[in-house]
Amino acid sequence: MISMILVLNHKGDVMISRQYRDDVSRAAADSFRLQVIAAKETGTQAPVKRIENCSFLYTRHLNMYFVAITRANVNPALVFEYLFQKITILKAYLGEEFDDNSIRNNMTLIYELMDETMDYGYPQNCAVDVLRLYINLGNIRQQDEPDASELTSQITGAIDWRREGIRHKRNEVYIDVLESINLLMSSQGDILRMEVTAQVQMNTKLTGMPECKFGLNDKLVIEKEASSNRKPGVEIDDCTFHRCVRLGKFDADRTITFIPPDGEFELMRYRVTDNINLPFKIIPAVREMQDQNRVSINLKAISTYNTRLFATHVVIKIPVPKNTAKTKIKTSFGRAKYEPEQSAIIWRIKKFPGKAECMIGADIDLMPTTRNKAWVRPPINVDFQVPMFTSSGVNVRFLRVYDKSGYNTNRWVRYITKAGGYQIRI
Amino acid sequence: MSYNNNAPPGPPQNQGAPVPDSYFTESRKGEVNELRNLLRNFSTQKDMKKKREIIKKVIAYMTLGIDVSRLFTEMMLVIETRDLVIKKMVYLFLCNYATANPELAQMCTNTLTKDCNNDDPMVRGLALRSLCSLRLPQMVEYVSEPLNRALNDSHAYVRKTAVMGILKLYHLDEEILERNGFVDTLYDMLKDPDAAVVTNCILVLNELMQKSGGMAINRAIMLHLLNRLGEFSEFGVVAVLDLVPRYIPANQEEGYQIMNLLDPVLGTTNAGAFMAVIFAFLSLAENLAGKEMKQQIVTRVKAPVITMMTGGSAELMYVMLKHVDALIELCPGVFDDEYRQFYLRHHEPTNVKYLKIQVLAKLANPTNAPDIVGELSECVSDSDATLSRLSVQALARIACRDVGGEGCAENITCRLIEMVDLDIAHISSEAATALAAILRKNPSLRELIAPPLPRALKYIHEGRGKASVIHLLGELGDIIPEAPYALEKLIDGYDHIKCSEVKSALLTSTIKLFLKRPPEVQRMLGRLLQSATEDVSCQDLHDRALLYYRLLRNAPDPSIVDQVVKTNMQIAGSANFAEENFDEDMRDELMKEFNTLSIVFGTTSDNFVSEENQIKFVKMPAEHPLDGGAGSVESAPVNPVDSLASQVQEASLLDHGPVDTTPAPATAPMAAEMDLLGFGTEPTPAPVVPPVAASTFSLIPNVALSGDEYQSKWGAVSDADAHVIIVPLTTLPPSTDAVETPLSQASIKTMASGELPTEFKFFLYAQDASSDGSIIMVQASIGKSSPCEMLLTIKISGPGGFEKADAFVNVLKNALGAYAS
Repeated sequence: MISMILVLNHKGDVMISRQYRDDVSRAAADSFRLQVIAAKETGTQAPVKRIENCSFLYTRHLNMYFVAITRANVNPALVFEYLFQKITILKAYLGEEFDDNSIRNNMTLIYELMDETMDYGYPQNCAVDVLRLYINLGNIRQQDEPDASELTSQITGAIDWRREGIRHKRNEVYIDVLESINLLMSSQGDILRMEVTAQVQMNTKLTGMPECKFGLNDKLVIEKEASSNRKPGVEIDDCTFHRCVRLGKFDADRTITFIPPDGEFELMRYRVTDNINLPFKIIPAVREMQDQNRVSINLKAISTYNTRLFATHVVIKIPVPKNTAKTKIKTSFGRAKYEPEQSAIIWRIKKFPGKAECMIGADIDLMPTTRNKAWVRPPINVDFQVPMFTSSGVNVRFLRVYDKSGYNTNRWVRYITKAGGYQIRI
Repeated sequence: MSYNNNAPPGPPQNQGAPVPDSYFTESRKGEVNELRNLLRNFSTQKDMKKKREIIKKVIAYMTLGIDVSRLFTEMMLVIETRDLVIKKMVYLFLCNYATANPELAQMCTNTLTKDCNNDDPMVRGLALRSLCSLRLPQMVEYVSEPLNRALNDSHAYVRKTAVMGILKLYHLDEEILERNGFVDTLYDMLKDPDAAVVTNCILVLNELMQKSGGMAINRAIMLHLLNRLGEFSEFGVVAVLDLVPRYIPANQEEGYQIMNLLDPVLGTTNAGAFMAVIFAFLSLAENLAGKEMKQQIVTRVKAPVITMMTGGSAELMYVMLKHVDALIELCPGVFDDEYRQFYLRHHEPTNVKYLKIQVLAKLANPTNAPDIVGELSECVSDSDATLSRLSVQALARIACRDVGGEGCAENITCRLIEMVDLDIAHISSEAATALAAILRKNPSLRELIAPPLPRALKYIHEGRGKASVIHLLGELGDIIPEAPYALEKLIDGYDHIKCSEVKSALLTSTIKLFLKRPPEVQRMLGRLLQSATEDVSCQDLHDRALLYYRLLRNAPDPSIVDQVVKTNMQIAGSANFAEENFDEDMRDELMKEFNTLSIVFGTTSDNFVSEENQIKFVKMPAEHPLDGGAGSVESAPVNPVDSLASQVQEASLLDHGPVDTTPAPATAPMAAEMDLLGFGTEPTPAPVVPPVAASTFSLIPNVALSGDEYQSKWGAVSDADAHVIIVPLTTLPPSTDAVETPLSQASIKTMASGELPTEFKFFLYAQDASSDGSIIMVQASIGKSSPCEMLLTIKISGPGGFEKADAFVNVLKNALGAYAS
């Protein structure tokens, strides 16, 4: 169990402190400030810190620290889950980018939330939708007030992610498939690691308690259906689901059925490692000329996706040695600039059409140094977004909504592939 | 409407703009007094928003750590308000300062107790929670009355708050449990229809019984909870799952059933629940098949573990990596083919990177070693010095363990030699140390290691690395011609050496070289011994120099010196370095604390958790059939602590209904325990039994059994051998008599019966007329809700398995006639 939850700002000032048990005191906040925040430990050291017999588990939102303090041998994954959910709840109440000011201005609200989500150090109800029913002081959008009896029956109960009696004029579902592709390529062009991790985000605006059935072109499902003229499905390595999904049903026949929460939520995550289409091929050529203190870099980027599509926000970061003095850059497309603070040439292309080829060439003059230290050659980093493209080949086959009243539902599906870590070594 | 717009009484604030908040600046003298004045005029203030603002200020001060306990009296007066927000804040204030003002706090409890009877369940819950959180020992008795009432509240929110309240009071006064029989109540409430209440019951019971390893669990409780798993919230699921590792399944089949039941939970996104499942699996495997099964389990969870690890936040990734590390230690080899998942990513926090490097080294096998070695070598050139050191160490580990197959150790050695020459201080130094370790394990590599050493000595400056190079020069002196001359420069510059580690290495290596090549080294050794014996900076060094000096001077035969100095540093290929030898027992202990901080810290909880927070890992139930020695199910030894626990739990499962007043109260505990079994699994066939033909089955008409006999016979048959059968009924019998009379005509006697609000209960028995004359005992319940059916739990003392139970049920069905369909 958790003895205390603290919210600190970047200087270590206490903004919220809620003590659930007697066994830690406010002095704990001081030791955290001194040993973690002042020591600039975050990131380099573990997110779990032991100071004497107290364990501090912490995470960050913007520049704030959310700290759970305990004296017991707790389940760390659970505590982090709680902290994350806490942040999610605050986001729902105060907006995505809530900061110190909004915390201060809504202190009473936050204490209320602290009280409801945890009792005596044990997590209680953390479902935003239900909390909204009875804690609604913040600038949360006011929904039509349910009557009290209905309200309280929702606080506990099995389906705590959706309340009854939701009404929408138009019934709509938005589905976003967000894939992020991770690639690590060696300087010889071998693929060291390639993987797609993806999320299926949903925004549902549905009336009543609808039962939804959702289908991807999952290989196992398609094979089972065995219809002849279908394209083969995608082999999904593994997936996890929002808790509204009936896991037993998925295990039995791989159908994804659920009663969705109202509004935005993440329905599932999946991972694919086989048969991935790389949206970009990057071919670098780097030559170091030791005697002349020069480096020349040539790089070709080839887009492999369909000509009807285009990538946006393409940023290729080509590292150069720290002692770069002068660069001469030529590009066939887009804009490139040497940015000394990043020791890299940043090549930006706003719109990269499909099946196209772009080149960049750079001659770099180096400053002579007293000690010839080898250049460590960090990898080239590529960032991009390709809308309406999934590199795993996953697509949504259907979403069926069943409700007693039998209304029609409008469905909108979007796909987007982003670069997770798209790196090419040189 | 935004709360931000609720402008405070002071200067108007703009929403979103930086707040010139007066109450977050330092407390100036008089501000508390100012607040007091505001509070005094509180009742005259009409504007609700302004009222809230005042209270908010007080709470803000409290958060900052400014002592506002002086305002206690004034705050007490505010408590009588209809505004829920103000109420909550005042309660918060109260709970914070009650211990400092016990008398005053006692005065306001009247309001609190009054609120405990409010119409709004939210207010009732809130008041009760505050009342229990006051932390005033003298109030315990006073509080227990509303608490008892709240435990039976119609609303789940109040009940779950009350359950937590028990725990709060317990920490003030341990005797309260006995006085109020709270433990029994809690076990009863495990059957509460609301999952949130059940969750809290589990949590509270676990803590109350911490000393004996947590809540007592038996088969009935476990199966009951697992069958309801779908109803629990994600945190509730974790509470239930945390019980599973301590549960010993009644038989293999049940163990597998539980696993199948839990398998879908692996798809959850809640890492806490996910990890709990893994622990439950591993623990169940221990009871079922042991090591091999664990291997299967780790293989099963591998894919979801990777997803969980890569998909989550950095913090979760850290925790997951620690656990993956533990799983790899448990089942080496399983994660090997996923090694690419442990490659570093640019944007990851450093702590995650460090862990990944360490894990990577453990994954090396002949197939993937070239890739892993390549990847680690890339990491060596990282700008983070610690990371590159760790990478070098990881490489050394792979080479030392020789897990990489043919040529891998050589490959690594070559790479390390390149690194020594790289002339980046920390890398060269670390690589040199790594080479020293590799040489100890793998002497055949000496030819490879020797060449770069003399030049390396010039540019390695870090103490440890330098010492390693000197050590290697001493070891390999016979194949490096210039070794003595490399050392000679150091000996001449002895006074400039700061690091004692380097000096010691220098001394030892020079002696070793002297023994190998006396004519070249003799003079420099003399100089070194002189400097070292005069050196007072390090005692150890000084003494060693003296020792060598005297040995050399007095020894009749140089071979004696040889024996003393040249201890065999080599280690057989398969053995590990002492510090790498992982203690099996230690690991087993650690695995018992899987999914806790112990794994993160890498040490068992007794090293970082104080005594009162220790939880012992006790497997339950104690009277387990698989557990008992030599298959004697009935006489399984019961240790005193656990039997106490199980008594408590039996007693607590007792239904305080009319059953109690029946002539055989002693049977009730077992009976009530069994009634949960309706959710149970398939009846398990008893061991080899002669089949009993249904046609020959009959019952002895006049059988009599006393309550005590019944109870002892019932207890003698293990729960695992009980048969659970459901008989559908056409209509609900009007009373217990309507069932008992026809049954007694069919020679099935009733020991006790009763009517509860939701069900009828019967304790029946009969004797088989066949030669063995076994007694058949039945605990039956008929639920009053539809579908109407009779749930039978049958135990047979004596031979006779499923057939006999079946035959008996036929007799019973016939007897019931009108009711049975």
